[in-house]
Amino acid sequence: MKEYNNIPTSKVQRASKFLKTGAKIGGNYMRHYTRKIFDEQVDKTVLHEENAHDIYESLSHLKGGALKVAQMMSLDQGLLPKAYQQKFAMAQYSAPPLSYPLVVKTFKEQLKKAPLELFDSFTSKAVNAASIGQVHQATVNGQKMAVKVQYPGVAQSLKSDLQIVKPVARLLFNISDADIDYYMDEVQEKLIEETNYDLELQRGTEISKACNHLPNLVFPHYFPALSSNRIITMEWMDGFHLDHFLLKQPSQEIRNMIGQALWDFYDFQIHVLKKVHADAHPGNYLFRADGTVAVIDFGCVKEIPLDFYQQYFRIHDRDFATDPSKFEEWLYDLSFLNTSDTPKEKVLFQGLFREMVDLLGKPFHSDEFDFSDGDFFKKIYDLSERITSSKEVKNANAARGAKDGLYINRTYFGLYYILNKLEARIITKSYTFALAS
Amino acid sequence: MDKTKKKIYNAYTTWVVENKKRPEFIEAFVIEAAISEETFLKYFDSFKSLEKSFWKELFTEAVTKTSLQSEFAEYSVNEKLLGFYFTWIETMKEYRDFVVFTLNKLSFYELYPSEFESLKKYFEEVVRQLVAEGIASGEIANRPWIADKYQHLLWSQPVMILRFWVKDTSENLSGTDALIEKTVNFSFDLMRSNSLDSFVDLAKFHIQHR
Repeated sequence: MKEYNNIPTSKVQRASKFLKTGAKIGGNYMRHYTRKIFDEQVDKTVLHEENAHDIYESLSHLKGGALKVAQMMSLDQGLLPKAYQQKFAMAQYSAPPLSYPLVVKTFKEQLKKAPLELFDSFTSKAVNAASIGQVHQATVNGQKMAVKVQYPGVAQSLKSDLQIVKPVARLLFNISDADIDYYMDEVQEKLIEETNYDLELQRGTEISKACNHLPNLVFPHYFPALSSNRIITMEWMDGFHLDHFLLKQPSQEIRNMIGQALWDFYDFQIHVLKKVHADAHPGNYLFRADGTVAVIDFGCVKEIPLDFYQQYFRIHDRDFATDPSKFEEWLYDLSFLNTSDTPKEKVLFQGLFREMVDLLGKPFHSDEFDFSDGDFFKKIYDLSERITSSKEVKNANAARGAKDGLYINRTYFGLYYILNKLEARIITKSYTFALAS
Repeated sequence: MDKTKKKIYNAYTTWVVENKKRPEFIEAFVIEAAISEETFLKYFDSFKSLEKSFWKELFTEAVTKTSLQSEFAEYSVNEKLLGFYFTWIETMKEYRDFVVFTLNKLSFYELYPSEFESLKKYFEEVVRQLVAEGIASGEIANRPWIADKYQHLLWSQPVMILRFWVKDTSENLSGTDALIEKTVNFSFDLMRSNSLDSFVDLAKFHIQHR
């Protein structure tokens, strides 16, 4: 693929792709999610205290954009020493809400009318906060609505924030500027998109329409006339956030229903729509006692390029997965391996990818999978731990894996995490994939 | 705002922006602006008085407009002040070039132009009333002696906001919105009953029991 031409080809830097940023970022995701499951202490931090301090310092002076970047690149947990994690979490939560007058001003600017001219009621305080906006509750003719208002200046500050995060990320992942750019462009593009509420509304409407037939999934109705590029008005959805929902001890049956709904949702998006809600973060769903789940945020949608899709998912093909020479071909195609790798590197990375693919692909290899399987997540955790602390991996000074894989991996890690929390048993046989191929 | 006055403001600010200087003679200006000298003199006796009144009236208009919003009734004192600033900055957009011209003329040692005099007086009166309201509602700590001075201290806010605004290059000038929020929140955090009050209380106790 042509993107790889941009990567510098000096001997050291050449060893490129998945196992550095891909696996480093990916690995951090794995670690982040699995660590949450076992709640293990990660003291063997890759970083010196001093570095971590610098990172915290530079991030703590930023709001919105940088927070989002940190969240995205998973710098937030698992990589920073505990003390900084806490400090950082505090910075994240202390982002002050928008004042009501500014909300009024935003409305007048965007929709030419104040909230009370548009709605029968409108809460002056936000009922919920998001990283780049806040949610108010409103009513029109008794219909309850959720109104998301974006913080001012978020869109503009994103780019400059990313520039600040860049050296930090380079430090964390130990990769070259050019490699960082390669992934940062992808992240930046997605982030800028997230600040465009018009686009979110359009995608939300589109995806919910396309996925409407899937059982137990609920999508809010959007109100374009009450929305703009910084305001989104949608139907108010009842339900609970994941942790709160689990406290109510829903039955196995209900948890399976919800888990299956989510699984089918992603399966359908990836394999049929080729467009995926790439933020499988528990906060983007509301879980309900009747076994349904509401999808409430379409800020981050990844469109999967067809050529990437075809190459990437060939791994579902048993031939590719089992035949070593075909597997090797696959690794080269996706630049997990590079022709410039030393024999030693080749053996190392091939081995690691073999393990990764086998492990992460495990749910796909049987018709049913029990995500409450602690052993499975422990193995993922151990592997990611091994990758991130491996000297050889660290010294292979380049990124591996296609940038398009970044969001696909993130989506699956997020999904696995939620399914594990739900302790759901899922029918993982991908019907839609079979249909599509 | 009085229609004739508004017409004069518009003619004057446009003239200044186009000529990049202030006009020297009323006689020459009124001919160019197609206003009768009599009308002009009915309202203003000099360009200086025109400017003074201009600055004051922009803020007056912002206060009036904000107070008429249906949301205003629910506003706390803090939010009222925020509302005033937001509307003020909005009203000023129309005259942005003139504002930029005026502030660029400032010398290094001046914080604000002398033409802000009436605005300052009016602003301080508005804030004095807000503070009284805030003290009554408990939103602002009633600190003896200091509380009477708040309106003077808060005068630095519109000045700083305006100085930032003329340099703001962000889209939709949203940087200024963020600055307004932060500035007002900070000032109300200071005026609210806080650790400073308990410290003074403690210090007083120690002095009395020496």
